[in-house]
Amino acid sequence: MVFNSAAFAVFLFIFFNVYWYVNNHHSPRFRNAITLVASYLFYGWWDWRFLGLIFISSLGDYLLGVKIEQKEKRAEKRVFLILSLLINLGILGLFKYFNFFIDSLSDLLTTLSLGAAIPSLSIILPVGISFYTFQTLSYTIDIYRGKLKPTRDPIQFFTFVAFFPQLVAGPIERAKNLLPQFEATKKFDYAKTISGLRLILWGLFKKIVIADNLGPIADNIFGAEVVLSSLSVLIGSMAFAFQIYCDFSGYSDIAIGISKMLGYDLMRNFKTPYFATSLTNFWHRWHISLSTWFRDYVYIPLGGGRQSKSRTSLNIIATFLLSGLWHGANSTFIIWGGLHGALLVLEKRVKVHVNKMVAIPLVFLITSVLWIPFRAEDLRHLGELTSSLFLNMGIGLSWMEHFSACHTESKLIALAITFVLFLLVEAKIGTGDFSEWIAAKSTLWRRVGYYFLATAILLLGNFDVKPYFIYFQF
Amino acid sequence: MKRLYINLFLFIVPIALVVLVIPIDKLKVYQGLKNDCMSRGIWIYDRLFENPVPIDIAFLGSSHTINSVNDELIETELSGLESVNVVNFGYCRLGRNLTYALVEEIIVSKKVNALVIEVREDEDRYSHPMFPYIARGEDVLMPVLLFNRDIGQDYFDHVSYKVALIQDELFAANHPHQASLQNHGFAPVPDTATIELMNEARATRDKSKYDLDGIERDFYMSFPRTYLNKIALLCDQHKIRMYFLYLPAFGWGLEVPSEMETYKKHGRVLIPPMSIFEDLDNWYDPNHLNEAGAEQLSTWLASEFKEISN
Repeated sequence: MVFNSAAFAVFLFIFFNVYWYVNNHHSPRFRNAITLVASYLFYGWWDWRFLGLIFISSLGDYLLGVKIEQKEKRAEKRVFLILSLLINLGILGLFKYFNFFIDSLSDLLTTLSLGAAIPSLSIILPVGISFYTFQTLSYTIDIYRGKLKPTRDPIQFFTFVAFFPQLVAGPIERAKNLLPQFEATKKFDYAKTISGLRLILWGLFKKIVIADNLGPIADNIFGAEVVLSSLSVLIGSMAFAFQIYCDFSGYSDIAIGISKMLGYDLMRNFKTPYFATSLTNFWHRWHISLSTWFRDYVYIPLGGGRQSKSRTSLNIIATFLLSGLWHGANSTFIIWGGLHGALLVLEKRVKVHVNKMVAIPLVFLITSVLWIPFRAEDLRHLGELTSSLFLNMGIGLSWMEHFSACHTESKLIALAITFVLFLLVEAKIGTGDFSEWIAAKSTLWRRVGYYFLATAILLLGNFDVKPYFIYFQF
Repeated sequence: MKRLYINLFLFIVPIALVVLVIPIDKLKVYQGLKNDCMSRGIWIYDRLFENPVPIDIAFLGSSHTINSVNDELIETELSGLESVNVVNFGYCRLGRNLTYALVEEIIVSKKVNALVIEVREDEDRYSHPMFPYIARGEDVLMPVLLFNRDIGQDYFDHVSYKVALIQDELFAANHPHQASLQNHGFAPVPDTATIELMNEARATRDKSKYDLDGIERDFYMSFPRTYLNKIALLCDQHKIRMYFLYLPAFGWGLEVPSEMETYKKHGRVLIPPMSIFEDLDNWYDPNHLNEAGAEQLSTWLASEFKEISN
C-alpha cells in the first residue's frame, strides 16, 4: 500500500477514525494493538511473507533488549548486543547483500580465471528492510550504552518497529523519541491534525507534481541508448536531483503528517537540502534520520572528529562508504558514498569561504553530479555517463528533446511556473517546515496556498506512473 | 473531530464541484477508452455522433452480443423496399447500468425504433466497470443505491477519469480525429471450441447461483431491475420498442432467463431455439458463439423481426 494510492486513502480514513475511537474509550495498550494490526496489514499488503521477517526482527530485539538490561557485566551485555547485531545484520545481509557479494566474488573469480561462476539466490528484497533494521538496531545499541531502558511491553515494541507511517521509508526513528509516545495517553488535537494534513498536502504535491513529472525526464536521459552530450547528462542529473528529493522528502512529509494526525511527533528528515551552503551543511539537511544514525552509531564509535586529521578523514570516508552500501547492493552506491565522503574530507581540509549566492548553486551542482553514480544502473552505465559528461562537450539544443519527449509544450510551461513557485516556497521555508511556514500566513493566503497545491496536484499531477517511491528499494 | 470533518468537507467540495462541472468533449471521453474492449468505445462514438447513417434497431449487451449478433446480416435480411439499419452496440463485460448509459447516448444522437437488450441466465448484480467512464456525471453521482456494491469505486473512477480528461484537454497535443464510418459492430470469431473445453464448462456450471427466491432475489436484483425500469421509461418517452434477447452461455440448461417476469413487463422476450446453443460447433468458447453460431442466431433474429413487423 503506497501513500499516494486510493487504497491507502481508504485505509487511512478508516484507521484514523477507529484509532481515535479506541484511544478515547480504551487503554493506550489497546490503541497500540490496533496500530500494530493496522501496520501489519499495511506491510502485508505488499507481500504477506514480509511479515514473518519483521516479526522475527521485532521479537529478537525485544527479547535481547530485556536481556541486555538484565545483565550486570559489560561483557555479558556485549554478548547479547552482538547477537542482536548478528540477527539484524544477518537478515539484512541475506536479503539485501547476499547476491551482491556472491556476484562480486563470482566476477572476481571469473576475471582471475580461478573458478566457475557461483550461482546466486532468488531472493525478494523486503520493502523497507533497511529502515526498520536500523531502527531496531539503534534500540539495542542504546540499551547497551545505558541511554535507554528497554520496554517490557511487547505490543509497544512491536508497534514501534512496525509503525506504518514510517515503516517502509523512514524517518528512521530513535526508540528514545518514539517509544515513550506509544506509552502516553493521547488526546485528539485539532491544530496538530491540521498541521499533519498540511504536510500531507505538501508531500503529495512534491511527489505527484514535481517528482513524478521530473521522473520521466530523468529516465529519458539516463535510459537513452544514444551518446549523450555533457549538457544532457547534467540536466538529467539535476532532474534526478529534484526527483529523488521531492520523492523522498514528499514521502517523509506525508509520514510525519500522518503521524501528527495520530498524535505522534517524528523527527524532521529534510531541511531544504538544495539550499545548503556546503557539503557538510547538505548532510545536515538531507535524510537527517539516516545521517545522524551513521554519525551516532558508526562515525562517533570510530573515533569521530576527535582524532588526527587523517584518522578523521578515514572515519568520514568509511562512514560514507557504509552509507552508500546501505542504499543498495551495487558498486554504484558505494562510489556515490565514497565520492561524498572524499569531497567532505576535502571541504574540511580546504576551508574556503564563498558567498552564499555562489555557494548554494555550487553545492547543488556538485550534489547533482554526484547523483549520477547513484542513478546509474551499473559500472558500465556509470562509465558511459561520466565520459559523456566530461568528454562530450557538445553545445546544442538536443537536451530539449528529453523534455519534449516526456511532456507537451503547454505542460512544460505550466510545470516550469509551478517549479519556480516551489523553489520560492522552499527558499522561504528554510530550515523550518511547510506547515509552520504556511501557518504563519493570513487565512486568505493559507487558503490560496491549499487550493493552489490541490489544483496543481489535480491538473499537473502525473497519475500515469505506478504509485511507488524511490526509497522503497532501499 | 467534527470540526475537522466540516473543514475538510468545505475544502474538498468546491474542488470536487469544479472537477465535475467542467465540461469535457465527448470525443475525448470515448478516445480515453481506446485500450478497452477492442477500442469499441471510440467506434460507438463515431457510429452515434459522426456517422450520419440512421439507426433503426440497436442491440445492446456484452461481448456475447458482440460475437453473436450479425447486425449486417439482420439488416440485409430485413431490408426490403425500405432500408432498415441495424447496429450491434455490444460492449465487453456485464453491468446493467452501462446499458442505461448507452441507451441515453443513443437517444440523444439517433432516432431509434427498437432496442434489443441482451439478457443472460440471470441479471448481473453489479456495476459495469466502464460505467463511471462513459456515463454522464449526474448518473454516476446519483446512481441506484440498492444494492450497489460499487458506488465508492464508481465515484473514484469517475473523478479520476475526469481529472485525466481535464489534464488531457489542457495539455495533450490535439490530433485530428479520423472518424470510422463503419456501420456495424458485429465481431465474428471463426474458431470452434474443443469438445473437452465445452464439456468441462458444462460440468462446472453451478446452477445453484441462480436459485435466489423471494426477498433475497428482490434485494439482489433491485440494482439491475431499477436500471431496466429507467431504460423502459426512456423508451416509453421516446416511443422506442423494447425487446430482450436471451443469450445464455453454454451448458446452463436454463431455457428461460431467471428474470423473465421482469423483462415481460417491459417488452417482448426473444428466446432463440435452444438447438443453436446446444450445438457444440456453434461456440468458440463456453461464453461466446462463433461465426457459425452467430449466423444461425442472426438468421433466426431476422425472421423474428420480420414476423413482428408483419
